[in-house]
Amino acid sequence: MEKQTRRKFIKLSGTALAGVFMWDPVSSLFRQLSPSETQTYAAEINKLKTVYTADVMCPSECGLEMKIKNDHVFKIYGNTHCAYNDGTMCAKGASGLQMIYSPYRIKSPMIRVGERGENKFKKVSWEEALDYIASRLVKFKKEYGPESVIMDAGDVTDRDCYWRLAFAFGTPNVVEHGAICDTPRRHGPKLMLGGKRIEPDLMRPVLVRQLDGSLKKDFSYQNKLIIYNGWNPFVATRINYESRGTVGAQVENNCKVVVIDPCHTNTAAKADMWLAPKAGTDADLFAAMLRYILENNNDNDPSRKYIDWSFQDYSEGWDEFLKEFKSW
Amino acid sequence: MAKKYAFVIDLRKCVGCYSCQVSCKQENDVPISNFRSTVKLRQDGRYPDVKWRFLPVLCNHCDNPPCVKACPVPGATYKREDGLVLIDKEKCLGCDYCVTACPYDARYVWKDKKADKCDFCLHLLQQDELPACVRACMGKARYIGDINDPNSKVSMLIAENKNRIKVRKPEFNTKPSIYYILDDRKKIEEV
Repeated sequence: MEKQTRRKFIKLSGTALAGVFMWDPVSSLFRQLSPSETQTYAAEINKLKTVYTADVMCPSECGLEMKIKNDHVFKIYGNTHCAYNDGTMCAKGASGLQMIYSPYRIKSPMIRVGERGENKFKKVSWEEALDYIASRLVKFKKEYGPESVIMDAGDVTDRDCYWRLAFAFGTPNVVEHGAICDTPRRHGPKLMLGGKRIEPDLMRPVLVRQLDGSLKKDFSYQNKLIIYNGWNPFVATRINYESRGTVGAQVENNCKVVVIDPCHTNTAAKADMWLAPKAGTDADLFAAMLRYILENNNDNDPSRKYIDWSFQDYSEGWDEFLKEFKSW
Repeated sequence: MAKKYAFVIDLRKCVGCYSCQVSCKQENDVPISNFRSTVKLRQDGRYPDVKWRFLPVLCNHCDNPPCVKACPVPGATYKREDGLVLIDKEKCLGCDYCVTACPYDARYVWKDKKADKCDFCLHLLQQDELPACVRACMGKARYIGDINDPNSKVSMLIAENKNRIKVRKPEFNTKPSIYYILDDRKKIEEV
């Protein structure tokens, strides 16, 4: 099979070249199609093998559809059969090809040789890199004690192996983002509502079984208010669908969005209200809101009925909390 | 009536994720320094009244295209009946006239000395598939369809949001095919 450059490709354009050109990841980065080429391309792409997979670059794990050509990934699209992302994908997913084939990606460990920020690095083998890390760790342990080292692990899913390494080394200081992310999200509703985690409809698309037995994707919304506290779901989220659900509910259901975040984010840009308290004072803000609700709640006035008291059936310790809250 | 493509971008739903820009780059192998489709970000105001506005921009496929008029080679860039403005790469000289003529900065000339710009992912449209940016859009803010068909999604959106529809730079009288649904709470301004 002859390797085709772009220039040759154009000269030969027409049906004759179907299946002739070989896809070269590097040179094709700058390849563009002319209208006559698109005919050929359209015929070509239908012959390609399609592989359905999931994107594991982030915990969203959106469904992806990949076109395979000559044992190379040729194109990446979102999977339209997957209700969760419904054919969409974020910029990170779309740039997945670069992660595999980009000529600029780093293929071996690098050790900084210049000053910090000077951008001088040395290419080393994995053996050297491991030796280097080990020698530095041992040095720190000897000079400052093992507890001087903090290990920052990823998600809950890969935490345990880091724990083992750090504990064997002698430091208890292993942190992972679950402490500020997953744990409160899971345990808050557990304490308040008996284990049921609330998932508003703008977070979860549903497949509805129709009368004829088929499944239909349902993207309708009932939410009227959502408060994002310290959360920027349009950029950093494990729920891809929220990018669509939040703005969809705003437009289609007149939902109001409040973002509480010290910094202005993409989510704050789309919000109806952006509150920027000092970092760490959001608990005070919520206490003030709770105080207003408790003081102004009137069960007999429909416009002032803020509390659905049936939540007490599912929660424990509300009375003690209320007593403590009022004394404070 | 014949089919005519139009594009509607719902600015109320654009979350500024840049998915359109990156998926366009990977679909069309756009050079590093240029964009066929991108998102412009404008930051206004001072704390606490900060406003960010996202404006996704791409070739407007104008009905009165200044780039076609500027082209010295007949047929190198042309307007099709279905609304697309296309470039014939075999005839293009890479003279840069169209790049200068375009009021939207939608065109560029790269090392291969051929003008290039958004073609609504023609190769995908021919297979009745959506352009890469429309398919990838996380907020479902982008719609493409036949503006001559009153039952198509774009026609319905334009009819529903009559007071909010705006096109970019109407003063150039280019009659663009990209319609923006404005966010009522904010004013669209030229970024």
